[in-house]
Formats: sequence, structure tokens, C-alpha cells
Amino acid sequence: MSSSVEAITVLSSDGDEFKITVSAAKLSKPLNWMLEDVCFSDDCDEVPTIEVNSKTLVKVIEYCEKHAPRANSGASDSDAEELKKWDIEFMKMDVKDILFHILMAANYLHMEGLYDLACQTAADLMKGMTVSQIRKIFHIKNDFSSEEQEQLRRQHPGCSFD
Amino acid sequence: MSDHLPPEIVLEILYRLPVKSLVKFTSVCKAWNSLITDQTFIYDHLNRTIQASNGNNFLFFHLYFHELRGQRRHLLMHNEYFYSLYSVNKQTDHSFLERLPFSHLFQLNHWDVFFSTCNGLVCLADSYSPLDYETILIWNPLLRKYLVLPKPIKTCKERERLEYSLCFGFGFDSRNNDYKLIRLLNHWRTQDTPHVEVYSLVSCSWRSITVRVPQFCLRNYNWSRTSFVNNGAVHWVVSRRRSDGLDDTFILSFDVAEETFRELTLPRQSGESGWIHSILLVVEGGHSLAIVNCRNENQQLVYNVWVMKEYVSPSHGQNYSNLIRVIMGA
Repeated sequence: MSSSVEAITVLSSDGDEFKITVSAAKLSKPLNWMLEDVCFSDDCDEVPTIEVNSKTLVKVIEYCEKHAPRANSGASDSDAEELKKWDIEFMKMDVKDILFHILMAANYLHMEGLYDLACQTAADLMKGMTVSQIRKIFHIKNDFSSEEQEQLRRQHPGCSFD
Repeated sequence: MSDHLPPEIVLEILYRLPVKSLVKFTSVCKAWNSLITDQTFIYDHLNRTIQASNGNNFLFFHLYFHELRGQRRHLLMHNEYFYSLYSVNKQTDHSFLERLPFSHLFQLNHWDVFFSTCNGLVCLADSYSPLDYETILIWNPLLRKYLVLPKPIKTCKERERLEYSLCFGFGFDSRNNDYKLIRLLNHWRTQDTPHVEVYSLVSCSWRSITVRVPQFCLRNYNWSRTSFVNNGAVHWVVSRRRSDGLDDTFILSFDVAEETFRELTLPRQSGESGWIHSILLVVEGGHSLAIVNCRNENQQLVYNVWVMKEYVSPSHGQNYSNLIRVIMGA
């Protein structure tokens, strides 16, 4: 890899081109391996594809670019505090529409920080959901009979099941 | 890419949910039910929660509390007595007061109740019980469920009660993933080897154990009965009569997994004259043991807080550092 390269171009699963800086790409292990293996110089016309759709990839790259300076150099406490606030704003998104895709992308791209953040965000959102809302977003069919359901409620009389 | 999450990601999210939500979600489907009620999941979830809380959760127990009923609050009418549990999360500044749902099983007119918490479970025992043996129960305040333990194997008759002292300890056996209650029945005067029984939450039964117990008697009836868990062991402050008539005070510990007793030394100062009482506390997120020591020095009450520096120590005795010293006015 040429040291002069500062940004690389990748393709999303929808075929759109995206630019990501080298330092940001280093947040992902597979992207880092790609950087080492593939030639990203100008005369190399092979553009690697990332199996993440465009809508999700935009968000993932946004996260990487924001977190890269801190990951590479370390940061002061005030920076960490600012980044935490940014993460909260960044994660304000629809669960099914985009959050689940971010989760899968973070898992696929081995991005520990984003994966942890997305899991926690999903858990926080699920806390306030009803059982039927959970079934809906996870595409789960209720396979309990009404007797079994009643039995579960009886086991935990002090807990809400709605 | 579809929005169907693979099972390993679902599991990662479930690990981050609070217990109340998990109980609710056992009714989502059979697969989620068996996942959430799986022993390994429960154990891992507990460990992650403890790590994440980083010693910022506290449980307080109000022994004696009363509520005023009726519109006219300035009239002390219809006082109702109950026990309550107060929990605080230092990190989120969140606190709640939970009224105990089983006050009817306690006599509520004395302070002599054993109370201990372990991993969010609460164990209470009261020897002055409306039952024909002491009331012992394990309570899960989050799930609002409690279990009244069955009658222990060896009990004493009502009229003999004053001749015996009861000592309880509650802890988690991480080797067998089991919660255990230890009960020592000790004759006051004879200082004989106490009768030791262990209740296991997994087997739901009592069993007597034969184990070497260092000779001891409870020094102060009220305070010494409280014990705490630290590093898999339960602790009590006890004493032993020396041949010269004076008392040696020390910590008796019981390893919950091994089911063996040990003696630990107290900070040197506490064994001297003027000693009143010592209370054990678990500090630093359950990793360290502290001793609050109150003694009478020249008509002044002096409180000392000691923290055990290193738990595992050879026969030389435990190392303590003195954290605070407070002198209450004469």
C-alpha cells in the first residue's frame, strides 16, 4: 500500500461508491486487512465490495470518521465526554429500519466499539417494549398456547408481562 | 441483508437487558424462554451486570419503619409497621424504596433480625417467629418473589430459645452455581461445637454438615449476628473466652463452596479493653472487607473504619489500613 494514500474507495452491496479515510478504516479489522492486502493506489482499478447496504454504510463510515482521531491518538477526558454525547445523538435511529443493520455491519466488520454501542442502544429501546412489539421487530411467531402463557404469568405474579 | 438478527447478536442484546425485561421476554417464544432461563445465561448475565455496576449499587435495609395513614398527617393515628428495602445506584443516582411483602411473617417489634444480601437476593431470618421455628426467607425484590424456607433439621423448643444463639450466613457458591444459607445453632453457656446446617437453593433442602468449627460465642447479641459475603465467604464477628477471663475477638469466616471455617484476625486495636462492638461491611464492589469499630475511650465514643488490605493471608493475620477515625463528643 502506498503511504501517500489517505482515503480509499469501497463499494456497498448496492454498488454505490464510498470514500473512507485510511485512519477511519483501521477501526475495522477486515478493512485493515484489506488495506494491507489490496493495492489502493490510483493505478489499481479494483474497488473492494463491502457486504453492507448503502444506507447502513453511510452511518458506519460516519461513526468511523468521528472515532478515528481518538482511537489513533488517545484523547482527554473532555473529548471522551464529548464523544459520548455524540454517540447518543448518533444512535437516535429506528430499531428495525437501521439499528439492526448497523448491528450486523458492526459484527461483520469486527468493530467492537460500534457493536457494543448498538447492542446497548437496542437493549435500551427494548426495555420499554411490549412482548408483541418484540415479536414484531424480531419476526417471531408466538408458539405458546394460551395455557402456557397463563402459566408463565403465574410463575411471576409480581412481574408485568405487557 | 435482511433485518433478521443472527442468534449470537440477539444473545448479546439480551445480556444487556435488566432482569425485569428478561422475565417479561420469557413469554416472547419458546426459544427465547429456554435461552433466558438457561443456567449459563443467568450466570453470565449476573457476572456482566456486577462488572457493569462497578460497585455502584447499594441495598439498604430499614429494620424499623413506620408509615402514617389517613389524611390528617399530624395525628399519629393508625401507625403501620413494616420492613422496607432501600436501594441506591450511585452511578445513575437512581434509588427506590421497596416495601417488604412478608412483614406478617415477622414480629416487627424488635431489632434482632438477620439480614444479608448477595447478588441482589435478600435473605432474612427472625428467631421470634409466628412459626414454630424461626422464619427464614430468601427474597428477590426485583421479581417480587420470596421463598419461606422449610423447617431446619435441628430446632430448639420455645422455652429453650434463650439458651441458644442462632447465627446465619448467606452466600453464593460460584463453583456449584448455588445460593446457600448457613445456620449455626450454638448453646450460650457451654461453648460446645455448634450444630451447623446448610440450606441449598438448588436442592431446596437443609443438610447437617460435620465440620471443624473454631470455638466461639457471639459477643454482642445484636450486631454480631449480621454477616456479609466477600470473596465467596461469609463472616461474623465473634469472641472466645480466654483462661484469664478476658475475651478474644476475631472474625469467623465460612467458605461457601468449600464449606469450611476459618479464623481471621481483627485490627489489633479492637481486641483491647473498652471495646464495644464491630460491624462488618463489604466495600469496593464486594472485593474487600471493612470493619466499623466502635469503642469507648475516656467517656467518648470513638469510631474507627478499617479496610482489610489483603484478604488471603498466611497465619500472620490480616493486614488492615485505618480509613477514618471519628470521635463523638462526650
